[in-house]
Amino acid sequence: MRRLVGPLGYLLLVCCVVAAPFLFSNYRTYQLGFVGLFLVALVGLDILTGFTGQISLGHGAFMGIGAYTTTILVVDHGMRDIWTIPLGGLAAGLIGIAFGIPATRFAGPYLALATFAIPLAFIGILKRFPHFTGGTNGKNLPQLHSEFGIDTNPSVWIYWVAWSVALVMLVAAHLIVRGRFGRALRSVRDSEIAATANGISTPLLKTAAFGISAFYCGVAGGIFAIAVTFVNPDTFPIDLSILLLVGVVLGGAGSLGGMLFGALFVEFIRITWGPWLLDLFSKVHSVNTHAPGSSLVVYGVVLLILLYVAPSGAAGLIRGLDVRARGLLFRRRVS
Amino acid sequence: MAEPSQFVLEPTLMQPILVYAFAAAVLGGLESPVGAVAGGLALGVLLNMLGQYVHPVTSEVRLPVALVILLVVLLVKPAGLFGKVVVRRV
Repeated sequence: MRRLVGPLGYLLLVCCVVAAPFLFSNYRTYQLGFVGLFLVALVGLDILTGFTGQISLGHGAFMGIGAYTTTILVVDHGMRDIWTIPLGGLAAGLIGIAFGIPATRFAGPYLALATFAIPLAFIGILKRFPHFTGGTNGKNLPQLHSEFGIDTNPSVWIYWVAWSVALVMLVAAHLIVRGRFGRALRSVRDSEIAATANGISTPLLKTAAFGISAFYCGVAGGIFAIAVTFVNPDTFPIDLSILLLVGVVLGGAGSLGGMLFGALFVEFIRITWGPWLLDLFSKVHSVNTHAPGSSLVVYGVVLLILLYVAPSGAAGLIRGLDVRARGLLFRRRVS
Repeated sequence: MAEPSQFVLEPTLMQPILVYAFAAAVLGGLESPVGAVAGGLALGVLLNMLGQYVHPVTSEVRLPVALVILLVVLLVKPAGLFGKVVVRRV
């Protein structure tokens, strides 16, 4: 019974994904497409943070690297946008590995600080090479359109693209964290000393986890660029990196299914609930709701409240309910 | 380290400082007070000299250069200039 929960949950998710565009408006479908691409990014970050125990405050920049790779290949080299998505992932993954080799010598908060520098440096580099990246103005992609002769609304098309990638990469992530390699990752998280004593090369594993998570974020970034049809340095601020980490924590670090809740939270707090909450704040006290960094206030408040209610995220909350339900059933059977 | 945009007071004003300070601390050696002073001075002078005399290093890439210095220190001498290499008994 227990072993069926995963596959059944996945099957349920596939059914929901297939049904959703027929139930919701085009705009909501477009938003749900973003949930799909954030799911990819969060699953990637979860492999690093949840399973390997390394905190990163810089994965928004890896999304940015993927997005810029896609944009430059499409705009300057005329490639078909779909095929650039894996290339964006590869570019981000390689940079992730290059960064991970030295950076994983740090542990805990020091690694968080080092990764905090990535989004800031990324923005600086974008502005330094304007002929390549478009500088402060960024670059525009061609308008969103469906391909392969499929005649659908463009927002529905990007929904299908995002979710087909997300569903495949979710399975891939499951395979990564399941076997021998996944056990090694978890052993690094739980005790580096014990992992080393068991013959695991912790720097190698941490770097590999960093590369894999950067690859996931790069893929998500590629889809992101195609969906929003423009990239500029402000598209990938440090807020996005922090929001990704908030999403992982709220979804339940170390759980792949929980990332679904994390992704829903990330997309809706970014677009729908966040501005609504800020408007609510501004009724109490006059605040400039469009000031840079104001979104961080909302993320902070929501994170604190939700962590008080559910310390181990949505996945932990569900697990707790499951245990309680089992307890009730068990008691009834006895009496 | 004054950049034109930094003269505006805003909540994100100190974000780059955090990175410079961390790079300087790692360069000098974390957990070494003398290293913090030496690292801060060395990094500050080095970055400004690079900005002045090396043409490709403009004010935008000053922070990426600091990040590169941080990573190079980690690769070459992870303990930093004044840090002690700690051997732990487990």
